[in-house]
Amino acid sequence: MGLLSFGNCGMSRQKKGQLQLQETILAVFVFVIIIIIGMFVFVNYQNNSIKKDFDDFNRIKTRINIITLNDIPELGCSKAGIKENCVDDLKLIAFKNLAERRKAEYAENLGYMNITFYQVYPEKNTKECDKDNLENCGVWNIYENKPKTITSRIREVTPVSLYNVKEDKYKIALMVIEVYNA
Amino acid sequence: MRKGQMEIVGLMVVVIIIIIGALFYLKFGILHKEQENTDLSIQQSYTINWLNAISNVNICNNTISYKDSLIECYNDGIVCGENACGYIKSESDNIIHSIGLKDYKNYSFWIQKGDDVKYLTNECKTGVKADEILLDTNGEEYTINFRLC
Repeated sequence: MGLLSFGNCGMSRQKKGQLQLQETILAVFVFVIIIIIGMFVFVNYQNNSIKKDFDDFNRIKTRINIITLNDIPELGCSKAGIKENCVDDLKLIAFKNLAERRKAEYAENLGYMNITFYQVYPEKNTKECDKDNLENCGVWNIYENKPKTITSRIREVTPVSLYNVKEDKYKIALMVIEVYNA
Repeated sequence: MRKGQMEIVGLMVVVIIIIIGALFYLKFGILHKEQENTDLSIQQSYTINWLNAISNVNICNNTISYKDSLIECYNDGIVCGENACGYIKSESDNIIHSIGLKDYKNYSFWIQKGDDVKYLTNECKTGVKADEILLDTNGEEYTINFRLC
């Protein structure tokens, strides 16, 4: 502003104009930089937010599965025609075979996850059950669909009542659901 | 830059700091609480499944159901040649040990008939609770309660 005090009025006006132009350019430049930084932060935040939403979605899906899976018709048990709150251990093998045969259909419904039952009471048994070994076993890996690359994993465990129709006997198993993020 | 402009810039900085603070409060203050609420459903499901699984099994070499032995305990009866409550307590500890209580350290387990309560274990004053109604052979109603904390 002190430039105005110089003698040549035209020159000082020109210089003042140049200064104002420089000021405007600087202001626009700073404004653009701020907008670019803001957009960068916004895009990053949106990306993280979408990732978080996807993780939340998977977590909720795991929770819904842990609450409802033991009640689906493919696994749920009944006694004398009355539906009970338990899992039929013979149905577990049937479900495993079904899920293998209709892989695409179950993959669409269940996605990337593992569903395993571990018998824990009255005795633990680490032998895996399959269609050739139904009696002396205690691990049922009924559904397995892992992505090629796993970025994160959500694991939920709940006890379930396991009913054996042949022996008319209840056991306790742990149902473990692992959901994978690709 | 003039004094007035400097003041406006200062004011803007203060406003921006307040907005950022408000955003942080929204993110960590409000959204975090929502997360806690959704966890309750899984805890409730875990407790209900636990009670259901334990009450279905037979104990004492498969001779008596857990439910019937709880009723025996309430009536000071005998199970497997022992005091019913003592036997159930040790059997419950075995089952709990084999299941493993996921994120919980303590539990309360009690049976009640009307307002009369008989505790097998009482370690939790608050927590996630599940209950189930039992009927004995005379049609009398008992409630078994299980609480995790």
